[in-house]
Amino acid sequence: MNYIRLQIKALWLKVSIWVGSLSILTILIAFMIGELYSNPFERMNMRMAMDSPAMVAMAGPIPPGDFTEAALFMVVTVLFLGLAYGLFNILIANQVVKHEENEGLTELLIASGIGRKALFVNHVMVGILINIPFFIITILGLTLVNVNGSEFIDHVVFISAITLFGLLFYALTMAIGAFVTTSDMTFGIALSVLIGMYLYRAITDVVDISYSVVSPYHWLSRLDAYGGNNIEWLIPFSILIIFFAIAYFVTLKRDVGDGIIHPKVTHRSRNISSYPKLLFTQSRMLIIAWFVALIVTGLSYGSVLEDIEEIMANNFIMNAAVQAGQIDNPVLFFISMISIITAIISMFPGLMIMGKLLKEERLRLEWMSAGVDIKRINPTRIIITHIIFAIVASIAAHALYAISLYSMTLLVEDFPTEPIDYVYALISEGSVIVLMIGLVTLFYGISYKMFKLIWPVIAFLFIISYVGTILQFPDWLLNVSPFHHLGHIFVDGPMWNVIVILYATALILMIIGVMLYRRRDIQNG
Amino acid sequence: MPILEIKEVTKNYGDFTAVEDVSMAIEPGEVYGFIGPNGAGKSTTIRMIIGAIGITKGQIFVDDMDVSKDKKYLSKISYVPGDVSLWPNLTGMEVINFLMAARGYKDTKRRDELIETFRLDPHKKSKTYSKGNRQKVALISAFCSDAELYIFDEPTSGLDPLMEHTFHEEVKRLKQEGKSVLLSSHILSEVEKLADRISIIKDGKIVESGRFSELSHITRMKYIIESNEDISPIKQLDYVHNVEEEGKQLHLLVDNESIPDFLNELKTYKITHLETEPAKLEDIFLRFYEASR
Repeated sequence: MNYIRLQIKALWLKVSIWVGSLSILTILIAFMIGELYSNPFERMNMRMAMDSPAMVAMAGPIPPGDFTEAALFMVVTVLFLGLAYGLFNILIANQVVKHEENEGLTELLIASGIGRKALFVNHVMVGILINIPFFIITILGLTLVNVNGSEFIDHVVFISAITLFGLLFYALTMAIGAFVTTSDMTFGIALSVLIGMYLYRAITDVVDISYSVVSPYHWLSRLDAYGGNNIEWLIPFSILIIFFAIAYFVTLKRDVGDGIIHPKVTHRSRNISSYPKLLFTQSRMLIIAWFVALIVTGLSYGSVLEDIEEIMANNFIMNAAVQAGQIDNPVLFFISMISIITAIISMFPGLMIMGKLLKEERLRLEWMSAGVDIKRINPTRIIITHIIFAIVASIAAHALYAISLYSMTLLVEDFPTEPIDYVYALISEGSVIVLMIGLVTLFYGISYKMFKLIWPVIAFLFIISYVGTILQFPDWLLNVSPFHHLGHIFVDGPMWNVIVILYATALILMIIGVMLYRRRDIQNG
Repeated sequence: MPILEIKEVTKNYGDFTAVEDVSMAIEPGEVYGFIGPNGAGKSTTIRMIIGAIGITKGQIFVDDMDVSKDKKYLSKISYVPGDVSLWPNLTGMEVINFLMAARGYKDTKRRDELIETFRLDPHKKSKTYSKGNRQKVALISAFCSDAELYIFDEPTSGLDPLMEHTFHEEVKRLKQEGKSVLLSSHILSEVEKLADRISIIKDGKIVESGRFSELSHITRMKYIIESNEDISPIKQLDYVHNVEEEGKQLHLLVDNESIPDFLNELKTYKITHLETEPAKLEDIFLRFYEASR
């Protein structure tokens, strides 16, 4: 019991931030949908907009029954909430189970008399305990908001599914951690499954939904909370018991700090003679994984282009917008929107490469930069190397998305885009990517701890871009997003003046960030 | 000219003073011991020397270069921290080669010699290394350099006694080559064995500095005495400390300046056994720290 108290003490802040953010966001979206979509006509329009292959790929299928405000709320939130909540559970499970084992804490606990079985039970209990606050807070919040078309039991069903989804990934992470030796590898594999299942569902939901049944995201959609309440779709989540069982038997079978899957013991030495080569070696897998993810994203969106033209032509909103002279071409408008979302996704490899600076600074920078030829290695060169790598990785990831999407457009007859449009899109959205890398450089330059501020900024950017229009955010809020000033690139073409300002701002932020970083103390340990 | 000169250096973190008016100088070819418990300010001082943190007040010179103004001095030092973190996906050899390249050091024969001497398997991934093996990688990398000043912060904390000995031999070799060493360590016997001079730091201030022999005024001599007579009155003498009885023997410490008085006192008894042990650095260290308990 003392160990559980210790864990709660260690985790409460992180859990509070995650649970607080996700609960508030969920409740806020329910509230805003209740405010904005009370009119059935508006909801009908929204349904038509969301019933397109691209939107289905992104947010999942539309439930068959009445499209009430509650049903709209469910469709808008369910998959992304699942994704974010799954990530939360993976992070906590990896920290509690694998990171602590790698750091030697598990060994210490066992030596102090806590049995391995008891430790396992404690880890499972931590998993259950961290999910209880979200379950209670969100159900209470949604009950208070009382969005039309919802009953208390609907909230319970919906949030139960999200909580079970999170717990499923907690159990999966424990099972993966039982097999592999390091926490980095555990996190990498668990995250790949989380994202991979989302992308798999995106494709199969459009191509043939029956294949989606393998993906836990599909179970969330098929549950049809606020509609049919098909609670039988909660049953597949019982697979988490199997993951816990696997974790239990494998963990008990193997040595502490070990794994079943062992890395090769001896290796041929590579010639790593400079910091850029070192950083490349350290970031290679991360970069490749994101490149693959962006290519798959491009191909999956591209795979629905053949139908999208027809569907868009029949779409009420798009037609109304065309008639009002707001949009000349709904397909191009839609490609522009998707392009913004993938630009945000493309920021991740860059920001994660910048994030490697944190570990480097805390663990090695001091040691590495003392006693070296400062022309070869110094803190300034190191941060600049990270900035360059981050920009190249993110822009390349976005370019690969554009190339894969464009290659799919070639299969569609008379698709209204040219290669140069994708180049302009890359230059235009690249300015925001570079701006975010500039912003994180500034944060990091000010303080080691401020680095993390970039994640709320990205989340904010994503929310504005993804649901800003649907939820009719006020103009001043939309104006905060740089994407808003760049317009819809495939429709409006490049806004060169804005693009230049954004690149220039990014450069200034980077210069200030590097200068501040040079002046501050190195964080150590 | 000293290779390292620290002049009245102070480091503040807000209202907290981590290091206050610390001064020391290390001459070429000298091994300098820097001792003190955790949190006394040793690592903060070292971090100021290697430029990881700024200096609030005072100056540090390495080979006559002001460390706050010119970072070129970094190529003249080599540093090993107490707890080494390596890149987990790199082999020991890759880490050593990378740091050699970063230093512009090309003597692979010396590298292989050190790998052999420290008995390191350099082809394993760093994530599989124990603390001791990580320490070996850092030490080999540090010795593979043309530095003038070597800074070791608790360098042998993860090493077995055999490897500790190897490390001592390498430090002696550096000394013979005219290189300087700043050795921060908890292992007082190690400092005693290797250091020409020492500084003791307490609560961020240097409380004692000098050659070991010069510090004898603050040390105590250990005596083991035995007699068939009642020698218990000795225990009451002002300059006698830490008395322990083991059978008929008394083990005690005597203030150095009171040794003549103590010997005169002993004359009054019929002593059957008398043993003395010279002052140890540990005694000096404990004397300072016991005073504050």
